[in-house]
Amino acid sequence: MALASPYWNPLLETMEPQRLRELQLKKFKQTLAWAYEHSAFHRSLYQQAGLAPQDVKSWDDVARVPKVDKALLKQAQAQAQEPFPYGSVLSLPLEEVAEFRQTSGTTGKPIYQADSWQDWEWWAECWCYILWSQGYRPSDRVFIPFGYNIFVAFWAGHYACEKIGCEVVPGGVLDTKARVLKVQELEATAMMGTPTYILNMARVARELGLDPAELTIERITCAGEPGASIPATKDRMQRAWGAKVFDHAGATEIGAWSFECREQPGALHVNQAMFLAEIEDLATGEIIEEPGRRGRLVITALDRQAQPCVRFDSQDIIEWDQGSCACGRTFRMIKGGVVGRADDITKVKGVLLSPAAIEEVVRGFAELSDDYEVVVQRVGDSEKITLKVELVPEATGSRESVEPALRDRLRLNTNLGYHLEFHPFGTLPRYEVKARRFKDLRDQH
Amino acid sequence: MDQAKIDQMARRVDNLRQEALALLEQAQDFPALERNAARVLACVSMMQAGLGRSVVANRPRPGA
Repeated sequence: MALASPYWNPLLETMEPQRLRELQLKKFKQTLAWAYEHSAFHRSLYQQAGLAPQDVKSWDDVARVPKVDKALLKQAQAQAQEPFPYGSVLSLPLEEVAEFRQTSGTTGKPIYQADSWQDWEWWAECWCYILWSQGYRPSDRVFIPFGYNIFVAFWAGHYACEKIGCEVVPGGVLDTKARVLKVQELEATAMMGTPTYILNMARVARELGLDPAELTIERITCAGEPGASIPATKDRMQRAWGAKVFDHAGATEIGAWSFECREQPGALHVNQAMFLAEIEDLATGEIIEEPGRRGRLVITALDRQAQPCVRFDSQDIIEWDQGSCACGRTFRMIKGGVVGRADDITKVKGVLLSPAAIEEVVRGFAELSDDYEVVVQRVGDSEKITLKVELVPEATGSRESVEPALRDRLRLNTNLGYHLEFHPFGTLPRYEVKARRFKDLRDQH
Repeated sequence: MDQAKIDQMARRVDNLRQEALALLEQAQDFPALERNAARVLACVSMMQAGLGRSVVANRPRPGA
């Protein structure tokens, strides 16, 4: 019986690595040829580089295919808006586009993303690998507390639950209080959300006099922020809900490309049957094959039609894990998930600082609330990092012991000194879905 | 997995695709069948992908 299978796709998820690589190369060539033949944007990009699809025969050739990034896609959509609104990146007639989504546009104008119905099935299929590996089965009642809108977020998770056979409860326009009560009323067994929102729901549950750990949620799938792969944040969510919390990584322009399985190995599997993930050295651009060296993700969505994703520079910082997973999947893993973003990592006082490293420290103190803020400022010729935190009500008197320990751990984890501010509980900004806790104000002087 | 079983499943999936494509063509004046056949084809593509095939060039319109 299919339910007994630990794998959504036992053929591909346990395929011998060499065969998997051959499959990826074959699919990469076909995806490249599709993009070249059907997208004016891609064709122009490759022609400018003097490259035709038939030139790509080996892995060395793959590394020569020009990369695409957000800026290029935005530029292409700004320059040629026909077919409206996707422009020259569109690879199918408009009447075959079934779904519109867009990126959040936090770094400027959003990218419009078209998907055919086959692409939409593909999105759901990618999510099925994720959810099945995390234990979702037809007996689950899955509550999806998400705003069902122009952002892709958990849309495909919803469709994947349907495909798996779960009962799906769309938590659409309900407010957080109503969502918590609905989880309680319907005895939902699983849910999905950003780490910020999952912690926020736990707080609201407590305000309602409920202990979220006493509710019926057994598993939670996170996305949108790195928190579920940051051990201290994951631990907070798991303790709050008495549930297993799993991470996954994906993006509008890419798809849902990696996932944490039930074994929680401290790493995410890359779905190598649906994606080709390459790690590129930040300084040299060399492709990194060995574990333990961080670089940026360059990724190809194999088989995505309407708006191809070929060697997309995602800005995600990752590294290969060296271990194999007890789950038996042969898909390679990335250690600690997405550990940062190339555009997030900033130099402060000459030291590279990743906001995720600060989160790991703060969330490791049970005396501190879920909310904090980091502000970097220029003061004269030097730079100052202020970390604003709150003590939880039960730990009001513990500042004297927390402050030096916090300072020490921050120094140890980030090699930097901080100006610490303790604010009354409940006074720092609360974020609903995605948090923006890192504020770099150095350019504002 | 047993290769013979995989091959047999692949043949069945190919047959499904052929049937759905034929139905799609035959139902050009019958939206309720034509649109559902197009959806079936997208599902069939996922089955093909699940068996390790490239489906990027699969289209729901014959001759497209």
